[in-house]
Amino acid sequence: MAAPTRVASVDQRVLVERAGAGDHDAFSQLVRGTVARLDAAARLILHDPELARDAVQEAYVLAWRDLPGLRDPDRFDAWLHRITVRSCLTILRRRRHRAVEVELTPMTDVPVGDTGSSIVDRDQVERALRRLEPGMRAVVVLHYFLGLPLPDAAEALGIPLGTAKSRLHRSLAAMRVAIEAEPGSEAFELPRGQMV
Amino acid sequence: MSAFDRSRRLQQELPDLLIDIAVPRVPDYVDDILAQTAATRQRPRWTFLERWLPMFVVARRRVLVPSLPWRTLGAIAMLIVLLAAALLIAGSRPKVPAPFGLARNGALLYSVGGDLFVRDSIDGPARLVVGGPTDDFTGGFTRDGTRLTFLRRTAGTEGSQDERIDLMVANGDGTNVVDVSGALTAPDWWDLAPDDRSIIGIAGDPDQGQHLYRYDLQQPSEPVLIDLGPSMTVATPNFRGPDGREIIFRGRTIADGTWHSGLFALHADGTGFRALTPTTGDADSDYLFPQPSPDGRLVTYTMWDRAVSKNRIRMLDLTTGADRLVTADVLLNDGFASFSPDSKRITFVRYAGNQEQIMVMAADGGGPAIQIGPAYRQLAGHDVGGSFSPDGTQVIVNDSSLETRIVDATTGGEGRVLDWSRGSFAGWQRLAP
Repeated sequence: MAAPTRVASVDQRVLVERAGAGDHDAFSQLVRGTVARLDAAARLILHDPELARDAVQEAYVLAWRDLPGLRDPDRFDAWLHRITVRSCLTILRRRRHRAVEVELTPMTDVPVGDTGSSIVDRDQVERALRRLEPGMRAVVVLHYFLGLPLPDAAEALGIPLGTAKSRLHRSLAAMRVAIEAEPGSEAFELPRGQMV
Repeated sequence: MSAFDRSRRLQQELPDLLIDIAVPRVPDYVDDILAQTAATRQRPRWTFLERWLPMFVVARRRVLVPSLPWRTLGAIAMLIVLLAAALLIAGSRPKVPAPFGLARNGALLYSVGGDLFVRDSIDGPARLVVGGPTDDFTGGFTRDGTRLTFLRRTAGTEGSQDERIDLMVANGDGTNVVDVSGALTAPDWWDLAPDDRSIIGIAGDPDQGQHLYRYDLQQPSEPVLIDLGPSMTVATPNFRGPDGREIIFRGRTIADGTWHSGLFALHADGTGFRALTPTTGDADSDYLFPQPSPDGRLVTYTMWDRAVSKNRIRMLDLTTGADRLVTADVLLNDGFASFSPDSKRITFVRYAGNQEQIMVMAADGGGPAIQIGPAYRQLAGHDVGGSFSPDGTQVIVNDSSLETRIVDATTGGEGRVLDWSRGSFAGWQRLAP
């Protein structure tokens, strides 16, 4: 399955323009068309469904409020991603000293469809993802889940491209190490006796 | 399979695996979002500067900000500090409260729109103490009640990557404002030394882990890193009463590539480092919010109970090492406690559903817990917190950016909304009893 990328369609462009002019019905259609991916991205970054809900709600409220200022309707998706990710990171930053924030609820209550990937892979990757710092999780989610090119991911996070690249590189390395360190790892383990 | 091949395979499979993990689906709160947005007004188009000006003009505005003559400003600041010191020596010394424990209630400090205000009493008139174009916020009085400490945003916007914040100190009337830290990245929790001559706090990119610094409040100088090595990050540092000989903090340490948490202590000069608890807690959810009692005997902290997915308040006796739960009821979700000035009670947050309720109870867990103010709905970016007045008779409830209430600490109840502070209450002055 390919990464869930989206391209702004002509219909979406019209909806963004109408919503920017104050048409709430148009905004409702935009919300219904984007919320599943944003909710999933927020859950991946925050590892807490309630906080993800807060982050997504806050993001849409900000998006609705500031939509008249969006100059290029074709950039709506990237703009919305940026608002959502920043909302996630803001929640973590503001609540860091209280940490109600990072309950790190395992996402095992989510029903798993028949996607062809092994459960071992999924669980290992999920645990490895949880071990990353939130800022590193965010760049992984932006790039590999939301399908943003790295320059767009860097823009969304408000960090230089070089920083985004190094964060992604370090994230993948850390995840690989974490996965390989698990006993019984099959997905990425070394063949016996092979030297790296 | 080489490391390169394994890395490439992980990259290839990651998109599908992330979809497997998250399972994108339309959440059940879409109608809530639409109700919220329908009730929110859009910003008028004309208020977006970038819609009217070419982007290069908007961008250039930042570039054209003239650089400040730091040496001159530093020299002036130094002169101001010396002058203040001379005046302090020449003047009479007022009676001040002990650094820890009960004190008399003094003035109340709060921030509005980037300015700091003081009221001598709850119903007294507001007095601007730090105003002007600077963006000043948060803060408090020194332990002796004679000076103010506060934060000033000097670059970037709130929450942005380029945001920089300076720690400032001023006289109680807002005069003699001195920058004691220089530009900091994400400064967080800070606490004053018992003699008010220095302050400790954490700063640094939260993604990389924050570290402990000491700032001199007597004169502008470089922050001093209390170096605990690269394998330890610090959160919530507090001086331990009654003499402030130790700093207690939550630390995160890395072992075998995995971060863990625990509670630690050390002296302000960086010596005497020791662990107070096991250091194998979860990096994100254990040993949270350590708060020492003013008498220095206890420290309370919050643990995450994975078996029932609830917060638990614990109490560590620093004199005996005994560690216990404050409440044994597994149905309660209580966390983030702090002590009354007499060390006999705690105020904490009780979570129920999506609501937060400030409570007060005896520090030994005996007797009933009483509700302080109403239950607040949990909202993104809004933290509800309670803190005792210097004399311990009142609790200030701050629901950040929404409202501030003052509630009787003994009887509880709804209390009284302070309409002049919408969640921006910063600190209460301590006066000699």
